[in-house]
Amino acid sequence: MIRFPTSPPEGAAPRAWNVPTPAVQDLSNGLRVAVVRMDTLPIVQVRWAFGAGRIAQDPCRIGSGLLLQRVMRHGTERLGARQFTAALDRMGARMSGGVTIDASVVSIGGLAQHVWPIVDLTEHVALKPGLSDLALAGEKIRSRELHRHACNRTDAIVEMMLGHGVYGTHPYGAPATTASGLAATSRADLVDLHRTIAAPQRGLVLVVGDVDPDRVLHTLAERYANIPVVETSLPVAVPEPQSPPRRLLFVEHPTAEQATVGVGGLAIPRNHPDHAALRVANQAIGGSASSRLFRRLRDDRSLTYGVYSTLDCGVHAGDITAVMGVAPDNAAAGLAALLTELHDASAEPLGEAEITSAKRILMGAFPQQASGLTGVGGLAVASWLHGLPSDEWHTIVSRIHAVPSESVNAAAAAWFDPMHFTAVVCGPPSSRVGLASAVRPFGLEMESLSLAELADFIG
Amino acid sequence: MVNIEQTALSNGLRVVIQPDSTLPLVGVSLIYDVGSRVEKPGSSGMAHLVEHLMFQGSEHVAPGEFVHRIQGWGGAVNGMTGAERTTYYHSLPSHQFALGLWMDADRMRGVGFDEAAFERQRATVLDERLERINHSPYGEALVRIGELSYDDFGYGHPVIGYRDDVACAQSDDARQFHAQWYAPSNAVLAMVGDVDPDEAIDAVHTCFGAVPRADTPTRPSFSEARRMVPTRESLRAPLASAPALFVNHPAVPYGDPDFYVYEVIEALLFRGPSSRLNQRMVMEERCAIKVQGGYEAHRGPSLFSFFGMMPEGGDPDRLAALYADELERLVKQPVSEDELERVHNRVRAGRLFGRQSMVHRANALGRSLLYHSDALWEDRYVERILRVGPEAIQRVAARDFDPNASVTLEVVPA
Repeated sequence: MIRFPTSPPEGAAPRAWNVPTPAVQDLSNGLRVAVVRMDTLPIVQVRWAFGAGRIAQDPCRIGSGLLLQRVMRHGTERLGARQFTAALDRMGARMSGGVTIDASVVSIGGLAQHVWPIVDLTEHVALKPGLSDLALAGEKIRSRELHRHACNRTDAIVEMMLGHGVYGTHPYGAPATTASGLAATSRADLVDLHRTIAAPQRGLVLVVGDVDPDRVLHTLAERYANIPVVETSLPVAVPEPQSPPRRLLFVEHPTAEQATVGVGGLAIPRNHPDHAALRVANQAIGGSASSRLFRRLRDDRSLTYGVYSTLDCGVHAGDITAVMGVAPDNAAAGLAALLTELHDASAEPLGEAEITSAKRILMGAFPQQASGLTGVGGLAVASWLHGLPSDEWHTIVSRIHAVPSESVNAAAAAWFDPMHFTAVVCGPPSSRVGLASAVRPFGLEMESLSLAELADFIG
Repeated sequence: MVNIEQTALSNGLRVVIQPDSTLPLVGVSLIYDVGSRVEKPGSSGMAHLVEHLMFQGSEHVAPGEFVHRIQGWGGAVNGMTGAERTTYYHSLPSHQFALGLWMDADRMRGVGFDEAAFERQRATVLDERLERINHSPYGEALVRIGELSYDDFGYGHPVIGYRDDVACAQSDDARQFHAQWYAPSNAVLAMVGDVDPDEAIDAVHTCFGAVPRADTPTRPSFSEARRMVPTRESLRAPLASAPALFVNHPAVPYGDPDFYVYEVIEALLFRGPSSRLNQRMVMEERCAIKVQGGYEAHRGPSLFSFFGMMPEGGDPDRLAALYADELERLVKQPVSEDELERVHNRVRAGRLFGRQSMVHRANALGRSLLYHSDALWEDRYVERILRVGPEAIQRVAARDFDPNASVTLEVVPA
């Protein structure tokens, strides 16, 4: 009988590896074209990204950015909705896309043998979408219903109200949709918004996959060199956000079975020099199931099924949030425990072992983050959007390794202090019990809203 | 898939390894051939609870350390329980690949949770249930449509279990469940990534070779009487903001020659933007906000399912009539070559895109070996899909989409 080894087998030395490097060319109209070769599988993904997202939408038409993305899936000036989807499916291609506060992306992935038809189709969606009245009417109904659905979910309500509590009236704090914004958006608004966003001077065309990079780059450069620069009204300077007065907002949801608890505060934009240190701090405090919050609040105390903190860094600003679902009678205890953990993490130095572990997690996870067409493409888009150095992804592992513990603790002290945080709880009436006294030590006073009163913010 | 190494240990553990040095990573999937279908009334949720307890320590690994050691190297780790199987998967930097094998082998030998850990995990599962069932707009409806669709408890109850059953579960029952089902001969280990196959097989022998062989109980067999009368029920859902409709039909199990025909029908109806139901219900008639569903294949009784979420005030009868009409269309009109080609391309591309993830590939390899005793089954999948022609679709639709055998659940916002 073989004896079971009493300790784990020793690991070997890590294999040297680097994320694939894109071939890049900047055109005279400001458009960047880039190609990354990944030839393990016969597939390809083509993306158009623009450095403007929901920030470009009219504040009276919140949701128009998302509507634009959705209507763009209904065909192009050349192809109606049915022809467009048939063209996608004929190639086995899938379209995806999204709009964040800072960027808009459309992407089509499919079999590499169809790379040029996919390039054509992606270009037409990005630059010449159909934006028909019929498609807009359908998507307005669908978006309104999805918004209404979200406004009945405690987690979505907490997310929306945390945005408002952290950023106030700053564009970064606006929800993705509001009922009134969706209703007010016309086809003319979408055409204007598309014109504002889809300007070549803030665009990137990226091809990732089983292609010849030199040939594809050359062809893209020739093809797009003459797209004219578009004059648009996009604001050039975005003001720094100012958080409104802190509070605990309790949103009563009469039929909820669970309460969602969330806290959050302002942090830093992506290109801030403290970004690496704050990433390590976030990882140690709440970035994963190995982090302090999860271990103490779920593993040790069974207060929740899961709790994580999230560091979200945009071009102009960033925030930290921590959210968890709790049984209603655990809402006050859960919120107090969450705030206490954040206080401890910011007031006292994190343990060396926690910092070392956090760094190792981030370094070890990088190849996973950089895997697949979507992963590699995402890194290339992030580099371009945030103006990161060309060697950003080649040096990220060594830079994380080199972050001093003092910097990590300084970042935790500066950005995880709950005395700067606002809080939101959404749950049934029973989850309200004890909340006000639970947050008083953290300088928060409780205010309450009913679901109906939420309409002032997201209706 | 090429370049696959297979072996079996003397204790019965089946092993399949596919080397791929694209990234310095390895994805590992350990699949146990046990799921909620073996549970009896009163003990629902035990398979899932045991999955949680597998992370609560073993002889050489402290509670919670399985996750922390994997994540400590930047890896990802989780478990998932279904009606048929329980899967434990992780990824690791390839230079640490043996760490996960060692911990997986240790907990295959025995679980090491104490009473306090058991109670914490039971509470965590109840929290999970609260989140996924009670607090989800259509959670209770999903439980109910399962109950309505099967006569037998095995497939008809929710994998996460009924609340009272989970609340009453005892630690000794969980230990007994592990002892009964977590035997090496009842598991398949699949590994994909940057490993030398010989080194990997050596490591598997070192870690799993010490797990003693054990017999597992006889698996339950299931049979469902053919339904002759349609079932329809309505359920009020306090958290649902929109009405919804579920429709299920019985379908053929894994291993049936018509398995691939069902896969094509699923793609025709549900997959991709030009899929029939998306085009008609969402894009054209706008009587649904979204539709989803497809073939839920088991080794026992299986289902073909439909779920449609409607706008406020939506008419469930209209949606049900449209769905019935689309099923009827499958019977009456042969699918055109053009549409079939689109389905084939979509399936092929979907399979290729799915292969980008090492863990995803390890899971697929493991399933192939477990269900088909053929690690190359996944490779042949697309080829078999390409052989499905219009006549087979008409034949299966005519035989199986009998309105009298359907189960319908209408969800009404309360």
